[in-house]
Amino acid sequence: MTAKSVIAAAATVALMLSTTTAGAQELVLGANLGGASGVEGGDPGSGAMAFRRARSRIVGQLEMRVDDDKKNGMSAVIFAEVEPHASVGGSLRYLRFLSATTYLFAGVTGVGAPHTLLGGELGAQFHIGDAIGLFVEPSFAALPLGTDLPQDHVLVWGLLTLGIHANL
Amino acid sequence: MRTSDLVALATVLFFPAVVATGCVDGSTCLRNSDCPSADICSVGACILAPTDNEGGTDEGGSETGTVPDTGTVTDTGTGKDATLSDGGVDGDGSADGGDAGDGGASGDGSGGDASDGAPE
Repeated sequence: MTAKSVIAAAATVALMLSTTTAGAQELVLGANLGGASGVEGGDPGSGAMAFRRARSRIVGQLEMRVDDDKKNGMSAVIFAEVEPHASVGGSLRYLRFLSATTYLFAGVTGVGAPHTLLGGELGAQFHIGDAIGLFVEPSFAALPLGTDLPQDHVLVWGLLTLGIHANL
Repeated sequence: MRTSDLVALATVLFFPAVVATGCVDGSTCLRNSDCPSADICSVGACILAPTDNEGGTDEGGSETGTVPDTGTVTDTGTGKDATLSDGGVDGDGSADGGDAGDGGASGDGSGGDASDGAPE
């Protein structure tokens, strides 16, 4: 009786643990580190859009989604503009995966210091490689709000970000 | 479409755009942070940022100071200051009391106006 009871209890516990493990949603994470530049445009007050090279920036990204819904995810981005002028900002994005290596995104982006900017962005990201590889991200942002704008004009960014991607 | 094809397409679309912006005048500011910390961007150029204290004092001083200063200058002009330019102003007659006052007011405000004029 004792041996059978122990075996039955162990089997029950094992079954409960295995069931619990199988039912949990696991967070699928990815991280990116890269650099970006592109074009920056706005109306300086002349009534016409003027474009120039955008500030170079260093970008760090964290992608999050759950394993039972791999079509949708979220991403938090932190970036630092480093040249020719420095600033710090970030983005919060909704991700829509088209495949395991490609997704579209939309979200809010902005700069927090030394002046503020706030707007929306659209883009896509392509991963090359498996666990660790490269990523390429073209994006477009329009920023109509913030103290960094000299007048009530929209500042636009067209950026290309390149860097290293890792599945965590 | 394969990922490599998408990457190539994105690269082809973006790099010419970046290169093409080389012809844009880099001295034009689009953001306030393009300028030194004491400046702001206005119509594509960096200008000295007006301070709140100066602006408020100038406006208040020139308006509120006009009436009392007019009286003061008129009084001193009529009674005392031949050395001041009010002497010449007074020569225009009593009707110019207001003008003299205006002159005095602008003189009083010139400290503030001068600081206004510098950034502009």
